[in-house]
Parts: sequence; C-alpha cells; structure tokens
Amino acid sequence: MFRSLRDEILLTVTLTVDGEPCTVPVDVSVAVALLQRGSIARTTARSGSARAPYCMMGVCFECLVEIDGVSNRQACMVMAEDGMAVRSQHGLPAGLLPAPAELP
Amino acid sequence: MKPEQFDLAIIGAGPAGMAAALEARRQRLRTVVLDEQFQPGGQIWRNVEAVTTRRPQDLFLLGPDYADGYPIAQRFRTCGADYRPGARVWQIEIMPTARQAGAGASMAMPSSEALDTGPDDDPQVHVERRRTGADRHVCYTDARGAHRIATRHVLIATGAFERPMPVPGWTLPGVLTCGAAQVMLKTAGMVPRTPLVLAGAGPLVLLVAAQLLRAGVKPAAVIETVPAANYLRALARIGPALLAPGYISKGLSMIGALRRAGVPRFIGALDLRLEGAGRVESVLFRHRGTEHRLRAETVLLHQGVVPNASLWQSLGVDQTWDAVQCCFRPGVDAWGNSSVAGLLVAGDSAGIGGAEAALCAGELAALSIAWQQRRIGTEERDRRAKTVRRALRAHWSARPFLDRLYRPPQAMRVPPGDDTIVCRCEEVRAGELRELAARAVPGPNQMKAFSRCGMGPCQGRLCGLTVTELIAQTQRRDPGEVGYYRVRPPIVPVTVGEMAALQSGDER
Amino acid sequence: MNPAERDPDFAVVGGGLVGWAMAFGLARAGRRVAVVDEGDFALRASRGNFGQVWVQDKGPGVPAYQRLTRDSARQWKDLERDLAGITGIVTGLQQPGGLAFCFDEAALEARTRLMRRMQDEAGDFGFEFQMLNRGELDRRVPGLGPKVIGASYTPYDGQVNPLRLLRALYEASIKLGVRYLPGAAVDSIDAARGGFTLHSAGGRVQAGNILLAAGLGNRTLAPMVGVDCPVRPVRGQILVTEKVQPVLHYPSTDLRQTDEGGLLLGSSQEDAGLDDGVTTRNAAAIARRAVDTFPFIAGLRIVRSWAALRVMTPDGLPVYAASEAFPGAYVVSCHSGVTLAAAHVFDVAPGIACGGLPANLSYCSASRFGASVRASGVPASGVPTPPSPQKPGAREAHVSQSA
Repeated sequence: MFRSLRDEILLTVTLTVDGEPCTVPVDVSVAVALLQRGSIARTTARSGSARAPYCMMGVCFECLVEIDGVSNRQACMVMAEDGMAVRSQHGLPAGLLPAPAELP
Repeated sequence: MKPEQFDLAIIGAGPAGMAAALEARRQRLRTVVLDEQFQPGGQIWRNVEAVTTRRPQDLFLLGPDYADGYPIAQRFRTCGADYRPGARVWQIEIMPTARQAGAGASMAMPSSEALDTGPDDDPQVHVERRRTGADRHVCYTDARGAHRIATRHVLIATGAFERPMPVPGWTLPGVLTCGAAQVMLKTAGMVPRTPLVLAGAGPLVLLVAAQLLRAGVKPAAVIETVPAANYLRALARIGPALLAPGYISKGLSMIGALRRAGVPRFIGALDLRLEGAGRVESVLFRHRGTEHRLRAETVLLHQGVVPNASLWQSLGVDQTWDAVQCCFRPGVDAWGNSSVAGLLVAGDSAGIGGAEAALCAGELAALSIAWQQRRIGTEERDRRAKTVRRALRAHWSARPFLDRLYRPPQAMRVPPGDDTIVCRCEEVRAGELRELAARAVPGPNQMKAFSRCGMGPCQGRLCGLTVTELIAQTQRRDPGEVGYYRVRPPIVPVTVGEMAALQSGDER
Repeated sequence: MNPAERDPDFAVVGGGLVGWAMAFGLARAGRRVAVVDEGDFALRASRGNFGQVWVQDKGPGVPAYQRLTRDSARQWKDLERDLAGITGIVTGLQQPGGLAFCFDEAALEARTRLMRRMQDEAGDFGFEFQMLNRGELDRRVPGLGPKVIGASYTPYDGQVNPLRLLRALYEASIKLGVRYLPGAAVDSIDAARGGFTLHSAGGRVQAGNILLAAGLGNRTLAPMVGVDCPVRPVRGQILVTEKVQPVLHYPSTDLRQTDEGGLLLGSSQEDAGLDDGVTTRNAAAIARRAVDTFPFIAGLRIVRSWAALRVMTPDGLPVYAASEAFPGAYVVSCHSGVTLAAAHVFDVAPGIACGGLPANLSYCSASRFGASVRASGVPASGVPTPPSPQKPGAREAHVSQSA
C-alpha cells in the first residue's frame, strides 16, 4: 500500500511480521511496517473481515496486532524495534490465557 | 505516596498545548505536558523535529505551514515545562475538594473570598479566583505503567481527528484517511502506491494531493463530494475569508497544481462506493449522471475534522451541537473555561479552527489560568489578551466560508444504504440502526445497549456522530437534542494490572 | 398517543428490565399494554447490569425469597426459548452453576455456614451445594491465583447477556402489540373512577391500571398511589475487558465472561447519591480483587468502565405491592431484574393481569416498611440509614451483587 520515497535509508530496524523479516526506518510505528508490506492487521471476530491501519493516529483501533506475545496492541502507537515479533490477529486473541479446563 | 503536584496539566502537545505551555511558563506555573506521541507538534506538525533535522529535503514536500512548527517545538522544549511524551491520558478525576477532605494542605489555602468572576463571564462556566487545591487528578499510562498526577488546573488540548466517512467498503484494507497518508510521509517518508484515489471534501484533500504530487505521486483522481449548492452558500461568507491570511490563495494554488499535472477532479460526485475482495480494488461514483469506476490500490478519504472530544466528554462538560461543523463542541467562555471548574479546553478539541487559531486559544487559556491562580492581575491579563484576540479573529474569519463550502452533504454523514457499516468495531450496519431508530429508541445510549454500536475498542469515536445524526434524521429531531454516547473513562485502554497498581491518590 | 387508539388496560411506567418483563408478561396474558419511559440520558439500572442469574446466596432468613429466586432460575430457559421464538434473539443463557471464591479461612467458614443455612431453610424444596477446596477448584477452574483457598458452588447459578435480554423483551413486547412511549419521565399521577392518568412533559397517558416499575423513580411515584417504596441508590462499578477466547466457564460473584468474550469485573457498593460516575479508587480495588482471583487478568485491557445505581430497598427484598387506596395501581421494584425476569413474566405479571398479586409474594408488600402514607403522597417514614461502604466481597449475603 505504501512505498518509501528513497531507495536508501541510513538508519533502519528489522522486525518480523507473521514470521517474515521486514525492514523500516528508525523511529516509525509498527503500523508503518504493515503498510509497507501491504499486510492486514487482523480479521474481525464477528465476520472474519480483513482490517488494516486506517487513521494512523490511535483513534480508530483497526490496527490491533499481537506484538511480542501481547495481543490487541495498536500498531500505530507502538514504535518498531529490532527483533520485534508482530503477528496478525484472527478471531479472538488467546494471548496469555490459561489452557481451558475439562468441564464436568 | 502523594501524587506529584502541579499548577497546570496540559493534555496535548500540539499548537494549543505548546502555546499554553509557553505562556504558563512565562508566568512560572509548575506545568506538566502529557502527549501520546513521542515528539511535540500534535498531528499538524507531526514529527516536525525529526523531519527538519534529519530529512530537511522533505520540508519542501510538506510545505511552509508544516515547517513553521519547528521553531515553536524548540521553544516549547526549552520553556521549562515537564514534557512527558508517550503518555496516554485515560482519565481525569475531580477529587472531593482538598478543603473537604482535609488534606492537600500544602497546596490549598482556603480563602473566605467570595466567588470572583471576570469579564466575559458565562453563568454556565465556573471560574473561581481562589487558591484551589491540586484536586484535579490526571491518570495516564506510559511505557512504565499507569500513573496519577495532581494539578490545580487542567487544559485539554487534544486536537481533532478526521470525521468518519461511512461509505460502502470504507473498512477495506488499503482505505485510509488523508491524515494517515500525511503521517506516513511525515514519520516514515513513505507515499501511497498507485493507482491512488483521494475522495471527500475539505482543504486536506487538496493539500495531501498537492503534497503527494510534489513527492512524485500522481493521483489517478480527486473525487470531491462537495455539492454545488455548497459553493453558493459559501460565497455569501467569502468576504471576510478574502481578508484572512492566505487561506483562499493557498487553496487556489493547490487546485492549479493539480490541473497542471493533469489530475482529474470530479466535483459534486455522488454515490461513492469502494469495492474489492480482501482489499480495496475499485472506486465507484456517479458524476454528472455518468457512472465511473476507477482502479485503485490505495484510497484516501477525508471529509473534515472534528474535535477529539472523549476526554472532556468523559467529564460531563456541557456540550452543544454545532450545526455547521456537524459536531459537538464544549461550552466554554472566551478563555476556554468549561462548565467543570478548573477544566479548560483550547484548540481544535473545542471546535475546529486550525493551527494558528489554536496557538491563540492556548495562550488565552494560559492567561486565564494564570489570572485564576493570581499570578497576574486583571489589567495585565486583558492587555496581553487584546493582541491575541485580534489575531484569533483574523484566523477565524475564513472559517464561516470554509465550514460552509466543505460541509459534507447529509448522505455522506448518514449513509443511505442499509448495508453500509456504521460501527466498524462491532460491524453494525446502517439498516439495523435505522430500524431501531424508527421504533423510537430514545437516543444513542439506548441504541448502543440494543445494537452494540459504540461498544468496541474505539469507544464510538468513528461511529458516534453518525449515530447521533442517523437518529436525528430518522426521528426528525435536532442532533443536539438527540445527544451523544455517554463517554466513560478509561478513554484509552489500560490493563487491569496497571489499574490495580495505580496509587489511590488519597494517601497522605 | 394517537387519540383514536383505545386507552391501554395497563400503563407500565419504566422501560427497564422490570418494566419490559412485566409488559411482556401482561401482553402474553392478553392485556393491552403501553410502556411509558423517560429519555436516553437517564439513570437506567438495566444498562448497568452484571448479567448474572444468581441464586446461591439470595434470601437467607427469608425462605420465600429463596424459593422465588429458585423458581425464576428454573423457568429461565423457558423464558429464553419463548423470547427466541418470538424475536429470534437468543439471550445467551448459560446455567453451569456458580462459584463464590474465598480468600481466607474465616471467609470460607462464613460461606460454609451460609450455604448450610440456605439448605436448612430450603427444607423439603432442597438446596444442593458443594464447598470446594483448592485442589477441587483447580480441576474445574484453571488459572486461579494463590490467594484463593476455596469456594462454594451451587448448580443453580448462571449468566445471560443482559442487554440482549432487554432488547428481546422489548422486541417481543412490541410484537405482541405493546406500545412504547419514550421521551419524558412521568411526574404526576391522577387516579379517577375507572382509571389513572399519567402526566409528563410529553403529555398524558390514561389507562385502566398502572404498574410502576420506574426504579429509583418509584420513590416519588409510588406514594402518589398510596404505596411506600423507600428505594435508595447503591452505586456499583464494573470494569469490562477486551474480548478474548472463552476462559471462564463458571460465573462467580465478582467475575464472569460474557458471551461476546469480554470479562466483567465487579463489584463495589457505595452510597454516592445519584452520582453514577466512575472513580479510579473503585476501579483499582476491583482490579486488585480480579487479579488476586485470576492473575492472568492483569494483562487484559480495560476497554470500558461504568457505574450504575442499584435500586435497593432497606431489606434488599423486592417490592410487589398492590395499592389498597387506589385499586388497579401496582408497584414493582427489585435489584435482581435479570434473575427474576422469568418470575416476572410467568408468575407476577399474569397474576396482576387477572387482578391481583400471587399470594406467595405477600412478604414483598410495601406495608412491611411500617410507614403510614398520607394522601398527599409523601411517606411518613424517614430516610433509612444507609449501610457504610463495604469492601468488595465482604457484604451482606442476601444483598447480592448480581441482578
């Protein structure tokens, strides 16, 4: 969806998005990485529709992704860092929940 | 542990917040500025420090209005305010007054003075000229967790965001706001992939199109949803606008640039829809009776901005419906004092006026606060305010024209199609809401209880105005009478763990 | 109202869970009903509801109330089925039983005593419960924090989606011909031969009979028909987390997971007058209790918080009153509008439709408040002393958080 104006960028960070490496300039949000790759952030719990960043300023809450194991983080409000693991979310997050019990 | 104490907490480091901080520090008020971004500038001057120092070649792309933000940001950095970036405020709490609680004695000096209101006093607005305690608490979260600070006055300067533009397909990946494209350009030096289409109404559509053109990206089209009737209505107000510094000439030069580059503009477009499987692929609309379909990989939408109101709404500040700007505005006096004592609102979050007007409003708010805290006298306050008010009036003079020219038509504010999504978070469509409204649901809160519209993570920011106007339209009521969602804190998410660890604020 | 339409047999004042359940029940019994309701921005307990169908600690010392609650819980699946049949809306009823966690030995002993008392007072009707130790709890409930030492369990408790319940009752009532008249609160009532007139800023409504289900508004309205209804507001705050996959299968007194996936965390009880604002002090206390119960909750985000004003009588029991001075006027009030919804639809409303309250509800009459009511409508009784604010979990057992 978006591309860089410049071919060479001096200072970059590399993170992974759904396991694939992605390199972006320093001091940008995780949402920039999603838009550079043309990735979606998530699919909705109700209808499974794909959603991607929309407002880029923390108002719309569309860009919810899992970052380093923590789900439902607004990608546009988190700065991208080297080695960050970003995963798109599908359905309701399980995150750090305990395993379900056996019901009687 | 007692929370940290301040004279003034400013929420937002955009033009209004920075101007208020500069004036507050001139008066030696102990000031904290909380902003959720990591550099000052708000949205209009987003990332201006980094661009100016590290990518100055991009200043040309973004234009002189953007570059103007840098010297202000620099002065803000050195004015002595406690500036806390990356801080998201989720609640403001008015504590029982320090006098009643018998605590906070260091800040409160109970006085037997009678209520002393100044000129421009509004009976609905509470201005008390006495030494109030630091009994307004601001709760915010940063990378280290949740925190609470105590302050005597709070200035909300949270700016604006783009009003929702509920057209069919607006939730598709690849559809973003014009402002989002500016954020990509300002923070990352990135531009949209083509084919690119911009659609909507408002100066930002032209501005972003012009900026992208300068960056070498030629939009496939600019689709303007402004109806022809708006031009006639706006012309009646063009007089003062012509005298306002540069607004009209800037617009005309952007239009000229688009024409020279051969970018087609479709004025008065109707029936805008976006289509695609899994991401946006086409833009459809009707123009002068002809149906158009354009291929697009990226679509940028914009139809004006509205106050970022959640914080002052969560405090129950009196609000009124602005029928021209089609949004709710807080009831404030000429200084920004609201109906909640000790709380002021300045800049676009009080009503859209633009960056220059926001600078003035921030300064006026700080002058009033300094006067209320008895740092300056009435004469000095009014003398200083005089020049600021003159500038403010000049910057406001183009607003009646711009507001009427770019007022989105009703069909773009309340989608006529039943299948169009109104609440993006909970995927509630217009048809369901209209049906409930037709059956006399009393207002947006009952609507929310029945349909889940407004219960998602965005807390109604992208659907609230649509829902208010949908109910108003269906039930033939005034939107101001219909009202808005009851906004409750936390206005941004805070974890249960952070909340559990929050100091209670009344320990001594 | 359209003057050409006939006056309703019953005008129900109040469009909350109690009002709509009564309206639905009356309509099912063949009566012509109108619901008169106030505007949108109003104190509405039904919008601030925990959503439990809660039984286990309702009515110690008052076996008739225990029985009422048990009967309602038993009939709840019939209510869900009826509503789904008429409206297509499924209220999401789950009745797996419920837990009350205990955090120290004293609490565990007190809870055990309470459960035994409930069982004794149930008599022949029976009351099943289990006291679960930590080992037994861990098998059924993963993720408990170290401070939880045990819990009481009964199979009768459950949960439902209260907003969907409200909508389903509303839709079902409309389908059965109930008329909805929202927009202005009733401020006075006239009684004349053969009927009543309700006055509000929106106009007048006349009906042969009236049923006051106006929550806190009953306090001023009920005396107008010669009934004392000394309800007072008790504020309760709730935190709602983001939606996650199903992880809590049993509702507990302060915690449950909704069918949408969010966790609801309660509870608090405060005297705050008519202030339904949220405070961080309450929120922090609720958060701490939730994290003590299930540490994993610490990582979940609070996306919403609200406070609502419970409608409490001095003894916590409902009011089901038929006015003696003004026959045809009824007053209904309770703080468990969800749990008792089935009883309201299947038992109370049909009784009223046929001219009187069921006899087994006499303990809920308003005369128990011991006030003499003057004709002007202002009760002679004073304001009951409110109990002091209590910490979450340590409250009188019969005044349950749930509704």
